[in-house]
Amino acid sequence: MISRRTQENGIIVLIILMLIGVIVISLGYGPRARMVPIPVAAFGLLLAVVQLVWQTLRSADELQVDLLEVLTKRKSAPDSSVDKPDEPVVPDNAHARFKRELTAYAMVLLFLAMVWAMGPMPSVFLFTLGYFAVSRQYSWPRAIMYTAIFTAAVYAVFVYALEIQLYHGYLAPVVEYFR
Amino acid sequence: MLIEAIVGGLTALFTPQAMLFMLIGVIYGLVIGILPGLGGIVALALLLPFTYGFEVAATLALLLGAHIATIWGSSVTGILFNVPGAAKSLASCFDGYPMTKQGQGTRALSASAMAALLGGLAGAVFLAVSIPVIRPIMLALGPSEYLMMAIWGLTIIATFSEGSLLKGMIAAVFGVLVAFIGMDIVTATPRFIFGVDFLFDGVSFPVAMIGMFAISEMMKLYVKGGSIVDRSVVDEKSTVLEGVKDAFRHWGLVLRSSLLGVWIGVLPGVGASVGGIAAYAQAAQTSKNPERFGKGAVEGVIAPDATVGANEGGGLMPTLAFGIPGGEGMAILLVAFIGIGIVPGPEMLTSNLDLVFTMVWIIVLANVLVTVIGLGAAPYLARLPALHPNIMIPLVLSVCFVGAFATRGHIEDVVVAVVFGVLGFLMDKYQYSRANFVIGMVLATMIERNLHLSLTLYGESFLFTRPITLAMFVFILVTTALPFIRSWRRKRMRAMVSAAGRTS
Repeated sequence: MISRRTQENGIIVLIILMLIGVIVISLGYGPRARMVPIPVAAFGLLLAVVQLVWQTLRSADELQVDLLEVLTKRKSAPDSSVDKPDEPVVPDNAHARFKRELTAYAMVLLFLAMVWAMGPMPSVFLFTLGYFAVSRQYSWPRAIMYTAIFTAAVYAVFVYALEIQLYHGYLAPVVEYFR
Repeated sequence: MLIEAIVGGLTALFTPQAMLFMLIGVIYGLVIGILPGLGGIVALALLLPFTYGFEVAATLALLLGAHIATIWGSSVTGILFNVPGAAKSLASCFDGYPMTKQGQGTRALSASAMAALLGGLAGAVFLAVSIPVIRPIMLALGPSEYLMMAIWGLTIIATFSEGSLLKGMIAAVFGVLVAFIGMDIVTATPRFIFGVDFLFDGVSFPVAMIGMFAISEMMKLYVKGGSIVDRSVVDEKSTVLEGVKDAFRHWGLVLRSSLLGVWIGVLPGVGASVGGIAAYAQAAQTSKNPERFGKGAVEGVIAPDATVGANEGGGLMPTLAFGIPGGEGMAILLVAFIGIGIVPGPEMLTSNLDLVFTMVWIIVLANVLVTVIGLGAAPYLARLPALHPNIMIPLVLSVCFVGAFATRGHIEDVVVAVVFGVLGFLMDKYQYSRANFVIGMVLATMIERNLHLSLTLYGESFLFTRPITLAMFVFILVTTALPFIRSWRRKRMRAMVSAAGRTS
């Protein structure tokens, strides 16, 4: 497993690269258009470099840098929810958590792909039904009934009450073609 | 004449149509407010087609009733799920959600409803008495003063950066930069759009919030694997009465926050979202126990809701008197007013004074109605976070995805919501403050626009040529330094006490 410090360093390096990118792109704009973005990005870059140096030089236990603490010697309460910095977290827990994180990303991306392909309402029905089925929260008949009621409620609020024109998805022309 | 206008304003509302419209408006506003991303602006925009052909008082009751109800409606989801219904309710999440997690959801909701009522009443009273005297003050402020107000908003970031100030500030920088995506309003230069036409209009604020808070929270909930509030561990042990008492016990805070809300409402273009954040900051800065903020301090719920409640009365003042909307919601109200024949201007204070008092009474009655409904519903609403995640995740994600689409009717907004959802999840995991990111986003445009205007109007040394700007700048320096000084003093006191203990 990748240690917490490596993960943190990876994130901050990514941030530094993005901020450099912002500065480089902004240089192509007119003087007024870049007047605020460049100083803001430069300030962010300075902060990010300080953060990188700080978290690299400090001991693993002190990775949660608190500048207020530095300036005022205030002691912030340790955050128990955070993994210990250098220790590769207990393999079983970390592995299970990593798997659940990947599943969370996949779940959201799958829902997005469904909305893109089919439009919001069919996606809401299929995603909710699928979630109930996979999680075994309800029996199939109940899952179908609750999903239908929920989808109808969403439809009533957004389409009838708020009169929002729904998107029919990328597949709509294909369906039309075969009709 | 004044008494006649006050009585006339109230009697205009005592018609079946006006009363019914107010009730419809309030219930509609509560429902819209609770839906993520659909705040007061959307609620008003959707009502515009229904405002013609009815009594003027009834139409005003519908519009203002809905607008006021969205305030508390937006706070409900913020407190219960860490998902603010609208930008103005963002600050309610900071302590409202931790309270919910500690089994204090009913108390938080009740305190929020009562604070919004008290703030709303303060706003209404202000609107009634201040119109003749406020004009010179408003005219004295220019872009440079608005710039200082926005910078003050950014400086309060220290308040939210308990874990790591550096990371908090980096998050705020990113928020500011994200707000620059799209067409630059000053130079008409498309910035950071990478050839994607959809990004010309920039990143929609409600969509970003849906992703940053709602989608990422559901991802977190999935990874965690339990409900937001595990009732087997934390019972819902608070009552409505506790929340109501809290609001009255902190009457000084309510008063201060209400005055702040009125003041921010009066300023054109500042908006309630800045007000909520500013109220939270002043509550934390003036508290004797600032370390409790962000961990479930009821003052952190009371202050922003009182401010946002009072903001409506304040916001109506420039809208009615000068035709200058105090915020986006007020801009839509202004359109509706003109549509039903109400022309803003000095005559509002003479020939149409009874109409002004009708609005004052609507603010009062709608606030009372919202609070009565809110206090009645709070214990039931507080049970929602204990729902099993297998039920909550698909339902909330579905509403978020449809809500993101509904904001502007672009499918790309759903993609943006997902991008911000993943970003919010990563930020939370690596402890980059999401609140700071959002504060940066809210204030970026205001800072840039007013900086350009200040330079154009007053020259490069505007800070020293505008006395009010200079005074505000000094105020910013003082309020920024205050937490550091207090902390240093506390430390010195502790050192002195321990030294005294050793010598004795």
